[in-house]
Amino acid sequence: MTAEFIAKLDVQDLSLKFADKTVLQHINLRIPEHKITAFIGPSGCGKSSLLRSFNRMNELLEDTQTTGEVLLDGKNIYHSEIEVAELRRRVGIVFQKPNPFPHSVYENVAFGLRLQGIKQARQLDELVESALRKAALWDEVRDRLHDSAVNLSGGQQQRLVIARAIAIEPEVLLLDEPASALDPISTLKIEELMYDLKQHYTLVIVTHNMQQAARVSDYTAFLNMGQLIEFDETNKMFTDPSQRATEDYITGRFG
Amino acid sequence: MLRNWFRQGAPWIWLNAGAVAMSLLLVFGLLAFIVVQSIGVFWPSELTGHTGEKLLQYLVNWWQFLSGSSGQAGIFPAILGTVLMVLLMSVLVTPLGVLAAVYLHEYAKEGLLLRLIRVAVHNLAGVPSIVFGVFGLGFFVYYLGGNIDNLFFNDSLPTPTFGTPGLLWVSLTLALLTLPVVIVATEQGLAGIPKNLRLGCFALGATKAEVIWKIVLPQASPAMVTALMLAIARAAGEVAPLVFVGVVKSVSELPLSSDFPYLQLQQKITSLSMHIYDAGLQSPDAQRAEPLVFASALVLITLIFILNLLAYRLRKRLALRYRNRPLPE
Repeated sequence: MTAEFIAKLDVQDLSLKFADKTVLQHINLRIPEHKITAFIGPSGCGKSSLLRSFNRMNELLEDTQTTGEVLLDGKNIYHSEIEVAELRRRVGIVFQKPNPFPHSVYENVAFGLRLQGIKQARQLDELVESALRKAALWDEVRDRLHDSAVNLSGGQQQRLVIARAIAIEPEVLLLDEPASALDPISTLKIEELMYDLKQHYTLVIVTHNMQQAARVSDYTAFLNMGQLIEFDETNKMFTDPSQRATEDYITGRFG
Repeated sequence: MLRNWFRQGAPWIWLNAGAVAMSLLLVFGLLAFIVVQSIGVFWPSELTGHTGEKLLQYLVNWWQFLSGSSGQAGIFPAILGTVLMVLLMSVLVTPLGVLAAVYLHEYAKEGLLLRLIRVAVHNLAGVPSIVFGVFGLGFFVYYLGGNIDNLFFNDSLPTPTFGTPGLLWVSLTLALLTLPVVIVATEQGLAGIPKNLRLGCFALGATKAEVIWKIVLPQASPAMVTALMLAIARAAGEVAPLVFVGVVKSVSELPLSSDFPYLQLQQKITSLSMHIYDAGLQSPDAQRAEPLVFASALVLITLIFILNLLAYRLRKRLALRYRNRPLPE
C-alpha cells in the first residue's frame, strides 16, 4: 500500500455528503504524477464523486458538504482563498457523455483558450492544431474544422472534448468513464490516447470495465460504499490483491 | 364490433381530431371573414369602366387608405403609432425581462422567496390590462412625468411636456404589461439548456459569469425571440390601458419628425387597435365605417404577421448559429 512516487494529488481524510447522504468517508489517497490511476468499484460506490472532488465539480451538482483536504502540489484546493475557476483550468475533466459545445470543431477547442485571454488568430490556430493532434483527432477533422462539432461521431466527439480539455494545458486530467458510451474501436483509440497523454499529464480515470483498468492504468484504487478499500499498483492489484473484497470484485464474485 | 370500436380508443381519437378541426375552422374562419369583408371595400362602385382601370383605382384607394392622415380618413398615423409603440416596447422589455429571467434562473437561490417571486410573476401575467393602464397614468404620467417636467422642462410649465400622456408612457406601460410573458418564456429557454453544456464550460475554467455570457445566453437567444413574439402580439392588440397613457383616436402631429431628436417621445399617438375601436363604435355613420373597420383589422393582422415573420427569421438564424442537435445514439 505504500508505493514510492511523487504525489500530484494528496487526499487527506476526505468525506463528502450530498444533502444528508454520505457519499465518501474518510478517504486517504495519493495520486502519482504522470501516471494513470484508475478508480474501480460497483455503481454508487462514490468513485465518480471522488473524481469530481479533485476539481470541485461536485459543488455544481447538488447540495454538497466536503470535509477534509485535497492537496494539489501540496496546496489544499478546498482552502477559501483558492480560485475555483483557476483550479479547474489546472485540473480538467471529461465526462461520460461527450458534451461538445454546439459550435464548430475549431471553436470548441479554442473556447478554453479564449477564456484564458488568447485572442491572436495565429496563436489560436497553432494551439488548436496541437491540441487536436495530441487528441489523435487532427487527421480526421483537419478539413472540417469549421463544421459543427455535433456532426462528429460519438467517438470523435469524445476525443474533441479531450482536445478541448488539454488545449489549456491542465496539469491533471480527470476522465469519468470516458469510453463507456463508445464502440470498441473508439474505446481503443481513447485508451491509446491516454497512454500518450500520461507523459505530460497526470491522469485519473473512473471505469466500470475491469479489463480497461488493467490495460491502461499504472495504479488502481478500489472503492466500495464510499470507502477506499485498497490502492496499489495495477499489476499487484489484479494478480495478488491484499483485500478479500477486492479479489471478489475483480474476479466478478460481487458488484 | 361496437365494443371493439370503443376499446381501440376510436371515440377518443375522433374527439381529439374534432377539437383540432374546430380550432382550425374558427381561426381560419376568422381570418377568411375579415379578408372577405375587407377585400372589396375599395373596389370602385361605378358600374362603368374598364376592369384594368378599376383595378388601378382599387389599388390607389388602398394606398390612400394606408398612407392618408387621420383627416383624410387614412390610417397612416395609426400604423406608424402601432409600429413605434411596439418597437419601443421591445427595446424596453427585452433587456429587462431577460436580465430578470437570468437572475431568477441562474443566481437566485431556490427557496420560499424565489417561489413567491415566481408565483407573483405568473400572476402578473393574469392581471387585467386596464389595471396597468391606471397604474401607468398614476405612476408614469403623473409621478415620473411630473418630476421630469419639474427637473428639465421647468420653463414651459404649467404646460406639461412629459407630465401628460404620450408615446414614452404608452411603451413603458406595454413593457410592464408584457414583462411577465418575457420573463416566463426566457426562463423556460434557460431551463432547456442541457446541464452538461454548462458543466463543460465550467470544466474549462470558466467563471459563472463567463458560462452565462458565452453558453447560456447564446443558447437561450431563440427563446428570447419567442418571448418577444408573444409580447408583440399581445401589445399590438391592446386598447383599453393605453387610452390612459397616450393613445388617442386621432392625432394632428406624427411622433416622427425630420428635426432632432426625430422621435417625439412626449407626443400622443394613435394605434390601429384604437382606430378599429373608434371607427367601429364611435363613428356617427356606421354604414360607412363598418367596411373600414374590417380593412383596418386586416392591416393590423398583416402587420403582426410581418413582425412575427421577422422575429421568426431572426430566431431561425440564431438557432442555426447556436444549433444544438441531440447526439445520435
